[in-house]
Amino acid sequence: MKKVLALTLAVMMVLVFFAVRPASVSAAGFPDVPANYWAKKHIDYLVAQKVIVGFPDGTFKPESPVTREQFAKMIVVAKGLSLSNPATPTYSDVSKSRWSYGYVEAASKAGYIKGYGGGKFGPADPITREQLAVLEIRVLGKEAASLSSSLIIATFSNDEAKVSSWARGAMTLAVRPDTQLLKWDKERNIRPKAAGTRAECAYSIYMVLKPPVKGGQVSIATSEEPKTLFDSLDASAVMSEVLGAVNEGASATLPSGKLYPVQSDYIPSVSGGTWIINEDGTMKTTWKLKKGIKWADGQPVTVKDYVFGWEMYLNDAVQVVSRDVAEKVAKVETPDDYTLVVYWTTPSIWAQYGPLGAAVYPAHILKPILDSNPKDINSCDYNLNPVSSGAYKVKTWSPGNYIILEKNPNYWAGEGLIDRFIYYITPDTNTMLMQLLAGKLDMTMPGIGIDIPQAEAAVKNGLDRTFDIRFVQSVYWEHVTLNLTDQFMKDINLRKALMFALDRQEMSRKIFSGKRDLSYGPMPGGMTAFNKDLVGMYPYDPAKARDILTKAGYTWNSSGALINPEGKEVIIDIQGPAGYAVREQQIEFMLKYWKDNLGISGSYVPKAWGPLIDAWYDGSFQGALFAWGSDPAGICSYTLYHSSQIPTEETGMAGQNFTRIVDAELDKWLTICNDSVDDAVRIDASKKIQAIVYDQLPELYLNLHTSVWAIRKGLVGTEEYDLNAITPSSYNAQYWYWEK
Amino acid sequence: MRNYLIRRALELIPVLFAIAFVSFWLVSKMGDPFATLIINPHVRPEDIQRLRHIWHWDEPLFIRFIYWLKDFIYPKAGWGLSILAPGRNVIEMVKSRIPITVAFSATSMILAIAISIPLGVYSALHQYSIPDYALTFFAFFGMSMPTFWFGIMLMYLLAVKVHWFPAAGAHSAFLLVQDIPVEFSEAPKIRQFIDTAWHLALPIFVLVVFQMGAWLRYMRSSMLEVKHQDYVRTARAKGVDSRTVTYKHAFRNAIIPIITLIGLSFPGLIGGAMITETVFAIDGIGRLTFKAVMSQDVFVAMALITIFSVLIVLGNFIADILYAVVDPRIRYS
Repeated sequence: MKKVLALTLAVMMVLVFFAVRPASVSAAGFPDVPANYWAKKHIDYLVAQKVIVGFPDGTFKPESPVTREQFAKMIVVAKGLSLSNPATPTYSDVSKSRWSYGYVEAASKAGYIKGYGGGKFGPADPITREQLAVLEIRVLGKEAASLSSSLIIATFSNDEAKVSSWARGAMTLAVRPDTQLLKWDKERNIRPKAAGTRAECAYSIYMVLKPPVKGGQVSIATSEEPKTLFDSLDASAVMSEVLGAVNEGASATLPSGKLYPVQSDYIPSVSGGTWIINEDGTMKTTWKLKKGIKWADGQPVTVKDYVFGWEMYLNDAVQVVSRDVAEKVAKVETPDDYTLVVYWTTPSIWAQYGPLGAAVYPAHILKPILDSNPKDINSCDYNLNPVSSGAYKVKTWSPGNYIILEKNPNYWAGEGLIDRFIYYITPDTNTMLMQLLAGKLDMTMPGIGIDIPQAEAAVKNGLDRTFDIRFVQSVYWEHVTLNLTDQFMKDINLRKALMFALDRQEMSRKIFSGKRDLSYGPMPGGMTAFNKDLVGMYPYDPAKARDILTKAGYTWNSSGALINPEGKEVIIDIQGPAGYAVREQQIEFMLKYWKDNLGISGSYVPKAWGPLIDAWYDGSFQGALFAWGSDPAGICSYTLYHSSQIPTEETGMAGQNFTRIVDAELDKWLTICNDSVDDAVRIDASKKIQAIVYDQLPELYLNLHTSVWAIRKGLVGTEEYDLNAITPSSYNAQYWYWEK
Repeated sequence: MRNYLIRRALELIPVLFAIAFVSFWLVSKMGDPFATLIINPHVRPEDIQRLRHIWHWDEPLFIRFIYWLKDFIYPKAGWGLSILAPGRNVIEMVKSRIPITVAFSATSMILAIAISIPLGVYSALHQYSIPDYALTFFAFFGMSMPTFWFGIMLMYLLAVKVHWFPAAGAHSAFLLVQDIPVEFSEAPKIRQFIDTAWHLALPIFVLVVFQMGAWLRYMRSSMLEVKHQDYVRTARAKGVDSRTVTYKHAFRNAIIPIITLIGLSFPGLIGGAMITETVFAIDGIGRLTFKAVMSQDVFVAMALITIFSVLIVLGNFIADILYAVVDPRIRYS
């Protein structure tokens, strides 16, 4: 539900009751382990336990490598083993006189270390991450499980192929929810051959000593209710949040936009020969699925399910929201139950996002429905009770009240830790604030939870003592779309003057408490393709704005109104969605600045969503305030700015170039970007596109949406990220747990 | 009389048809339910065209209306499917919300009336006394306090500051039965009832306070008017004792317009209270209507509008008949 001004007022009134509280004090520690260091908690704990010590100069050197004998000492101390001093050394290269002798022998005696073979231990070699995993899996008593032939090997990393065969089982278990001994890097690599750093060793020993706790529940509120849980039939944020840990596919995307394999062995790549791009633009991708994966009802997941999903997408009677990618697939071959060879008609970067541009569905449940009457797919029971293959499954959906998820007992990669998730449907965000304060909730999720005013009220009421309140930037950029066929807006000088005459920083401060960052073109800052050169191009400078207009032949009449070179008084009407408080406030803010600084009269035209969007298509507007969402993969903005994308009767109203910008140079780069599958080429083209549109200003770029993510302290495992792209926050929910 | 009834009943058909068509036109004016998908970076205009086609949204309004009417009348189609809630037909969606709406609206209406009638009478009998002023103040206070604000404040005081009541929701997800958490639907009925009552206490209180003001003022003015009637003075003059005058002569006559009003507010029982339902996260008919209209879910919105229309039209019809039964001066032929 959209926030109403009055409701915000209600929060303000509630605020009257809130008391002030003292700020917390920060703890001391190593200068090179700052408070926000990822392994700070783990290092502090192990130092307190004397398992690991700092250097005499007071530093910790968290990034330094650890040798095998140093690690042996750490694990022996951590486990409280007594030192062992046998008369004859077990390893020829760890003599009795060596400082680590007692530790290495003790670890060997306990069965933690077995050496390289041939009587060697390599005490001074750095310990690699895969050695670390094998050793700690032994410490946890899981060595037999790691060697079991029924184990499905999966490290969910892009460099899984680099894992040595002897470490695959241990690495698989080391990333499971119930151990979590290793973390991935930002590129989603597990780096098996890299030396374990002091911080990494501290982290993993901590996880050995205090393994993740099973049990408990997490109560979450969402302001919206999913319309369906059949994910391809809708595109709502709340649905993807609820299904974040329910659905699974061949690959998945991190919040940063990075891909990684899940049910597949790898992400197809040109270098790996699994993604072939032909001269004529057609492509071929090859995927290998893991064997032994099951649906929540126990049936095996095979290529048949993947192919079925694609066929269902292409059926015209099925209400699939987007089949952009699925339509690019020409045909698919399945040489066996676990291999997919996909042929594409055009080049598309989406080829590596999933085998067939479609989600995978249980054919044994849905195929009979599709075969008998395809239209019934739209209304079948799967909408309410989806059967998927992720770590959790939908237990109960009490419409209008809540949705309960519980663990999927057939999950193949280690069961989740939290017993159940309850998503309460609380349409009013002020009510949600009360539920947080009353202790009913453990979390509100970004975008569908509390908003900035409620977050501030929550902090004033002391909620940040028990909750971690994060502000997460989203990929939605708020802007005014200008109609460049309008008699005034067609002039670039006026557009630039509007930008210089607007204090965007003050606007963010006043309306969003400064929690929204400015937007510099059609790409959110924080995304890889963002063109950093554009920052600071349009500072607030009313004198410059007037100067630009004067030079372009604009004048002001006796009552101070701006007159354009053709002698017409400049007037701006901005359309916006009715009843959307912060958008109304932003429009009023802009109109005031333009009136005061440039003498332009304008008005706010509130409209319902339907007529508002109709106006974008038929061009009956001057300016319209709304937000576009960027996708880390869709960095070209082709449909927004290419001259072929202006919606007209001839093009069947296709395209989203509502600004009606036509620019040959822009078209050139849009085409290059859109046709390429080479990341470097696309990023370069995208930066040029951003530079052109930020200079041409078919849109006035305002700010980036910021959402609030409130998490009860003690809940471990939620991923901290700055930019919330299309990945739901719950994507890794099987790793979350309540730390005792 | 029978002929009259048949004629009236037949007249209802074009009336309902006209209401349905006008509502359909109005709901459609809100825009189509797929338009907002355009903001999603993954949805192409072609996809939106395809979805429009599946739901006949590319057809003229009247044709779409006929499609709707067909589904609405054809019982197996369950009044059509909700566009935006696949998997549930509209009958199910409406049906599932009736119990909570009636429990919530009916209880608050009955309580509001039961409390305000005696208070209204008292107020009228003690006109210009301090209790009268106090009640008048309370009545206006209750009416003018926005329910969303009052609801949030009550939650803040009674759910956050002291944990006497739950913070919103229609019932708990889990109930502790012998210290084991059991899902609500599997808990004993009596526990379900107690839990629901506990959850509904605050919203019912909010609605009672909100509605009481009006009933109290109606009753007060109706009683005041009757109090000064000749027959009341006559009764007093002939020495009937004060209690009998008040309750037998004055009150009986004063209550008649109130009963008419109660009759008129009957559809409100099903209609629910949109704002209170939203603030307290109760998924009743009121919220369903609001959601359906806001998201242009034309099938759900139309079903609800049609139900309300039928209720109102039927209510009027029955009232007309009752007039003839009650008042010997009225004859239909």
